[in-house]
Amino acid sequence: MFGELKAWIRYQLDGIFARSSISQFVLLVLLSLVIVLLGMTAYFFGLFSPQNQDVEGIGSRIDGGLWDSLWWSAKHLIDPGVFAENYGATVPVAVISLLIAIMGMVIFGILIGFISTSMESRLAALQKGNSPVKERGHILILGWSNKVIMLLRLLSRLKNGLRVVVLARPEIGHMQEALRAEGGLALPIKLVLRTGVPTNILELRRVAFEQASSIIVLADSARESDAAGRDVEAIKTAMLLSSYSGWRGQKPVLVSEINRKQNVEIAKIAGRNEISVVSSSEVISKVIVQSARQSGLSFVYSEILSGAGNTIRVQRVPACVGNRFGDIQAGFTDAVPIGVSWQQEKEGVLRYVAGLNPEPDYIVDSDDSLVLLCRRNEAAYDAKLKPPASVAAPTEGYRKAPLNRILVLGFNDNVQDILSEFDGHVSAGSQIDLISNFEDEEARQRLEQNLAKPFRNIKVGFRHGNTISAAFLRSLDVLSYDCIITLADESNEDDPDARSIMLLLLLSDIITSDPDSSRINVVSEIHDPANRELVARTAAQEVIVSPEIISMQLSQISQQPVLESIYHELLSAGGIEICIKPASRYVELLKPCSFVDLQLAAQGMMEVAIGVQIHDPAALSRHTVQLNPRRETRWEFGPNDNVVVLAQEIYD
Amino acid sequence: MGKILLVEDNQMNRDMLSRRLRRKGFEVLLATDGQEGISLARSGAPDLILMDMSLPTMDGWTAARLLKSDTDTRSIPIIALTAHAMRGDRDKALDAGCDEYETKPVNLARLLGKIESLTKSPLSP
Repeated sequence: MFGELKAWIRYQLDGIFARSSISQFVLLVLLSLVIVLLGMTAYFFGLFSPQNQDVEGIGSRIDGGLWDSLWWSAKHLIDPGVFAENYGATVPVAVISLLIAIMGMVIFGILIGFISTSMESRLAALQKGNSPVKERGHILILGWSNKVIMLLRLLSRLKNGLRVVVLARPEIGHMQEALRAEGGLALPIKLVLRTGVPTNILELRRVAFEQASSIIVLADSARESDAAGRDVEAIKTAMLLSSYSGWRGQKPVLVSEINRKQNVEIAKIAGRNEISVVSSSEVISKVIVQSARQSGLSFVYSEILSGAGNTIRVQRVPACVGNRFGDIQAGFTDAVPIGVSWQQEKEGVLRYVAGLNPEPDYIVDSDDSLVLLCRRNEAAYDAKLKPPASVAAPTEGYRKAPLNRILVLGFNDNVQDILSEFDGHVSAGSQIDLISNFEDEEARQRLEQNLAKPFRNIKVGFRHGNTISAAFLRSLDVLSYDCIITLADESNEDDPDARSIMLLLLLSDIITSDPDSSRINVVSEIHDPANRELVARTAAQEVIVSPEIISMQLSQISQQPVLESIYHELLSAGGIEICIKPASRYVELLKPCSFVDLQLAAQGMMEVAIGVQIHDPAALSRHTVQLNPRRETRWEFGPNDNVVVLAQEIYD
Repeated sequence: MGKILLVEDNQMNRDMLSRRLRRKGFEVLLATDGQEGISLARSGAPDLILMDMSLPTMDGWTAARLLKSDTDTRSIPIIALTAHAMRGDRDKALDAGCDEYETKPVNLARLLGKIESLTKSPLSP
């Protein structure tokens, strides 16, 4: 019986101690009260008897009864040292005072341990990031990859004083270390890190997702080796966010990264068309192919997407309403209008859509916002500035030199999308040779695995070999190709660019031996932006830092969702694209002209001029690009100078 | 006249042109590929079809041929829309049964003129 009671008490006590700090504290207080009450029993053992009247530690100023007993007992519990003041007391009183003093020492020992443990667990919780976030209007990043640091850097450029919360699976220490190494902790933003699972609604509540202004979901690069598998968590998170209905205030802008193009449709279904989806493999393949077709485009995209120089913004300009789109261009001296945007209901959701490069006669409507390429957050419009009389521009026909032979060196998860994209851009019969570490048959199987539809225009050749062997590279007859693409080697996680740099050095040695080497456009994909300058000193004319491009898109779309459709259009084949065309198509060569002249001439061809590309033999890329140039600048273009325009592209 | 079927796979072109046609008072039906275009032409009874030629699943040339070979839809005028500005493209579109041809980006005033002449009715519905 007694054993059972003992076990029951122990069980209850264990339960209380396991519950929370507060219950432990309450139990300690109750225990102290019980001991004080027990100590008061000294009253019945002659505490105030005449034998104890002269004892220093026994006072009777209140009532010489229970209150003084309470005081005496409590004093012994709180300060065990007062036991010595009972010298000369009767034995029972002395024994009781000794017992209370011992119990006091035990209780205070427990209290100190309790406080110490609480502080330690609090610190541990802070280190683990377990405490709830109390933010409102913050940007929430869900997931962890090498894009986080770039995202933070880009977001800090877009707006001052941003508050960014990251919820991801890695320990906070790991995230802090990674950010510290890249300078992420020194950025001018308030950064809060939390360890947790983004697919759990309770974890999301911990980071105040209902009050966020925008939520960016990253494909987790750490968990799965297979690119498609890395999308699972992002898709689950998209599903969770899109089905959530308890948003407090305005629903945040939702944007999700998806690794594989083939998973985009699933992500859109999961996101119920309420989430902007950026497919990293699709975007990278489009940028690579666009840059392969037109030398200089990677610079244009980098500037537009990075937010460091000119970038695309949507702005309502009431003074433009009722005017021709062609006429309002003259009123912007620090921006170039490139399209219009309006709200439209799509699949039950009211959203902004955009149209780029409208014809000059398009009349800006009252519900139109302008899509502007501009250097500042807000472009100024001066209605007094009228366009000059149009000049007769030379209407020189133009067709890009076709890409008939393309060499792809390396193999990564994006190869399939890159080749599919090429298939939409090149003429029938174009040859693409794919050089990789895989045996021919394995490379073919990897490429054709899950291929949505067979290639229509391109013929793919496979060759197995070590791309950083000089002898092997020389055997490839690289000078016979119109374009060479080097892909980042994702198998080396520590330094994915190491192989690319070695390959480019060898390639430079071979290519520069040809006096006509400039005709070969070398496009290099790398992972680390710190290697950009290094790679630019090799044969690479176009350098594409793939995680940076994705981060740029994610950060911009999180601030302006309409940019999703704009970037999709700009990068896709068969629509409005950024093109680099010879200046001779627009103005007479070697005669002074201004950007306004180029704008007028481009309008005549249903295009929008957005910048110039000036031939510069001293530059690493052999040209310099100026987007949205100062209007007072005058040029005398030569045969190697070009104009950057938005145009409807032609594909055979 | 007042109902136009726009068959266009490019979302931005589709949004832009349909918005401008609606502003002019037309009712606009939308399809994103040739197959959907044929289906909507049969069920929606449009007064005119604007057909992009480079379409997924079924291209515009095939769709135009099928529409012109069907007694229910052969009377519907078709204007081919394409980014190709070569004379051969125009002939190819007309050979497929299209009644007119317009290059992209679309010059709306010129397109409206062609719509008017093919439907032989005033612009406003």
